[in-house]
Amino acid sequence: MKNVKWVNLLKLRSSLGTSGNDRIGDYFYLSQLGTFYSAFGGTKQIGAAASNIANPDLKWEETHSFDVGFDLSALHNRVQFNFDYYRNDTKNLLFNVPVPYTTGFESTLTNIGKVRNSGWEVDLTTHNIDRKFKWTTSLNLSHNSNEVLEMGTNTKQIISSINGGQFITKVGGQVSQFYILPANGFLAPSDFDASGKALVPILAGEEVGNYKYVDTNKDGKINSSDFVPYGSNLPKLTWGLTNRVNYKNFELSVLLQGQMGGDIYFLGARHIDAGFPGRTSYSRWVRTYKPDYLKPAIPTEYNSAHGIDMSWDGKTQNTFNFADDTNSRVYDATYVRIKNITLSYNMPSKLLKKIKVERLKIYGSIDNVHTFSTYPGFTPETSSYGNGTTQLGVDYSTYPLSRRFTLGVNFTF
Amino acid sequence: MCITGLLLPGCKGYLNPNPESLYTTKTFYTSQSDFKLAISAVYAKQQDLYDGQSGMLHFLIARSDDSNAVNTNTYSDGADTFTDTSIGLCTTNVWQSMYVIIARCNSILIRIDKVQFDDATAKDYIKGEAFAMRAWAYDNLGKFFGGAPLIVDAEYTAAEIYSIKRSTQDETFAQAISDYKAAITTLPAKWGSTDAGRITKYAADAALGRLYMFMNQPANAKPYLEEVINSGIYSLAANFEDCFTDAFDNNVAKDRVWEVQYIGGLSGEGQTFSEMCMPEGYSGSEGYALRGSSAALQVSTDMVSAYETGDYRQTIATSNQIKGTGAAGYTWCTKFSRHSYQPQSATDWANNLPIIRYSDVLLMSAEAINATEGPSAKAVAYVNAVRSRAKLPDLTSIQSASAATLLTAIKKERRSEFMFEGLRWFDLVRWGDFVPVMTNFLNESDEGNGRYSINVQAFRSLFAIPQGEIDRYVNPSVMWQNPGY
Repeated sequence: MKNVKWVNLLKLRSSLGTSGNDRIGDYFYLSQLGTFYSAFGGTKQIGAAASNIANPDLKWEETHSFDVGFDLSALHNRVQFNFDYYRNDTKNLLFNVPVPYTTGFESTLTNIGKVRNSGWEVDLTTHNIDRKFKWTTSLNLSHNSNEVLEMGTNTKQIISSINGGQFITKVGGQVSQFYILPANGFLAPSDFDASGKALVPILAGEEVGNYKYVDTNKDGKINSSDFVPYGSNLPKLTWGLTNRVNYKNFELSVLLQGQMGGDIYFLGARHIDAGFPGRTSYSRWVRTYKPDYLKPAIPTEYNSAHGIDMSWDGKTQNTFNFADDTNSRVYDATYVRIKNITLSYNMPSKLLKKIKVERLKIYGSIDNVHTFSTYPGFTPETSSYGNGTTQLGVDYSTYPLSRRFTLGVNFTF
Repeated sequence: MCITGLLLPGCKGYLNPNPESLYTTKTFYTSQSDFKLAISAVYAKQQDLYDGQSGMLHFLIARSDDSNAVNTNTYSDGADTFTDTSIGLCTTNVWQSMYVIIARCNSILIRIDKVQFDDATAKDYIKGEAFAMRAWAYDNLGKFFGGAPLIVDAEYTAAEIYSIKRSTQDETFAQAISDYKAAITTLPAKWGSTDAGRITKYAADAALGRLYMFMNQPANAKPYLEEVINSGIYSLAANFEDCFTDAFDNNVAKDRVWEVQYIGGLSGEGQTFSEMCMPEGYSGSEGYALRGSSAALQVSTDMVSAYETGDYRQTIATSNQIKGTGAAGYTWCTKFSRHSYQPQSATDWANNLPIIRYSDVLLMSAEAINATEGPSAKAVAYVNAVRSRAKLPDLTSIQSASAATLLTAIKKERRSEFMFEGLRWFDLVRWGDFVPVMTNFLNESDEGNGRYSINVQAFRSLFAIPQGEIDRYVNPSVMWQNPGY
């Protein structure tokens, strides 16, 4: 390697390990008593009953992790490149295995199941210009994916629902996928015969202007068997790019970050993007499909008096039979965000010596400058139900990111 | 080496694997006070079932022709338009909660006989309460879903439960009947004031009578209903509004046979249903609710026109003068809105919710007598007592002329008496009337104008078994879905 002059450092590394996870709450191997209050005699009465099923075989989860990577420094250390690939298999996963409701419980904590998390990370730093004027670029990229390998002998899949959306976790798929009834366009008058009977499979009660659902299993009916896993709450790529420029005592840094791919399930839309009467909604609902029998109730004079086009835009569904559990609520979460711009000035040391200050930096920065994305919600970077559940990737009324302006001074005495 | 050899045996006494400060079922169910706590947890679960928005009372009203099916979002998973499926929050809650009640009752009943009580009657009472609550759970499971797995006499593990298959609806009811009967022999006729509201013998009698009526066995229902009437404890409240205000909670002279208990004072034990009766924009001017709800049930125009002219119950139970956003022009239910304790929050109402009222016992008894003996004077008198409280005249001679005409009159009376009490749907099912009645209802211009009538089919007498349970069992020969879903 001595003769390869452009390589300054090349390190190959790999690691293998097993670790355990015991952060699961205490004493679940026993059947604990919970308190449940009732009332009689006009007084609150304490009650007690089992709050979980005992599992004396409970033990730690085991994660077998494997990692391989290399670090490379080249061109007089002007380029630094790190790469890692990892694969972690977690077995004896501490999992709330569903049990029949007839037991009086919903699930029991059991060591069952195996999940694989794998991915790669890249870290690249380049000192592009290194004279009086310096310019450094830092780029990091990562990709993570997971797969459910096993779920226990009696469990093939878990379907859960919350706030109008459904989720599925099954063997061979990702942990927590969106589970939706696919829709393809809208029901037109030609989909119904003269007596109002549907000529295509529909959900009971649907009418013109509602979603035209896809009969996935082609059985002539639209029901729960037509739901399919859809999209992914994990992005294909997560990235961050920092550019730092120094000239004399000024420094300017710009941080961009974002993700490519990944989807988000906009369940919060039921509050602001559903066209319910009497509620503030996105403006597109002015152009919702309006069935004939509702037209007398909608003031058509409004249209001519105010010049507002209230005709159907072809893509806003009839608010009757409003549905959230379709693919129309799953949006691409790709975004680019200018995360931070900071401009700072370091006072020259000659001036500082006179006032006995070692270092003085004045800076101004803006955080969350702008986000470029096609997502109609407030921010595509969200998971309203946390990160440890089987209902990932939901936006349910996430608060928008605020743009923050900071001015500051840094003294070192 | 020798030292460690000496120390090790000494350690055994110090290392105790069982945490002493934790309460577990290993040390529970061993004393009288333990069983008092255990039965209280059973009542706690019954309270959950009457939660305002997703509880069974709200759900059953939405399903019936008491409430409008299309003007508001009733959060009834489509039950109001007969588009409900196996994926519904309300029915899943009913199924799950009933089995929690059954599990808690079983935990008591399999252990209580082995434990020495200071007070033998206290043991009998707790057993009676556990039998009655388990009966009530199987009673409801049978009505909602048809046959359900019968889990009794043991705490089965999940592995064992997988092989206990669904029973038939008749078998489920048979379990409920046997449990009600066991309860009736051990429960007290009355409780002292510190226990007011617990199940009494007569509550179990009335519940069994109601189950027999659902099964169309009026001859079997009669003696149990008569036992309640002949106890002399109960009477109709002179004022209809007294049946529902918290001022008379648990008062047997005010129609109260069995009620779900609630108390105010921000205790966490407040009732949440009353707020579901006023619309979301409710201004609060009449004091009927604090803020109303987006899940408010609107009284249907069909229900309003079902009242006879001059029916006092219409004045008490309904109002079309409610002010608030979206309220004008519609009729809302004020039956549960009168209160003595002023709720401090929407979840702090003190009003109990009726499970069985005395007027129901009288009307069911009249119906049972009519079905077995014809329109006897006793049956007619019971109906007239209820009508007179509603400031209505006695039944005409034509109405009481034949068993058929009296049954029609009783059906009409039940509708006006029990509006918004969750009884209408199961009445329509047991009379075999729900298909024509609900089809006509959904044909009305303000009930969808016929768009949903096609959904009212015979298989809808039962709700779908929750999909979550079907997925858990996997095996359709043990847990299968009801036909049509």
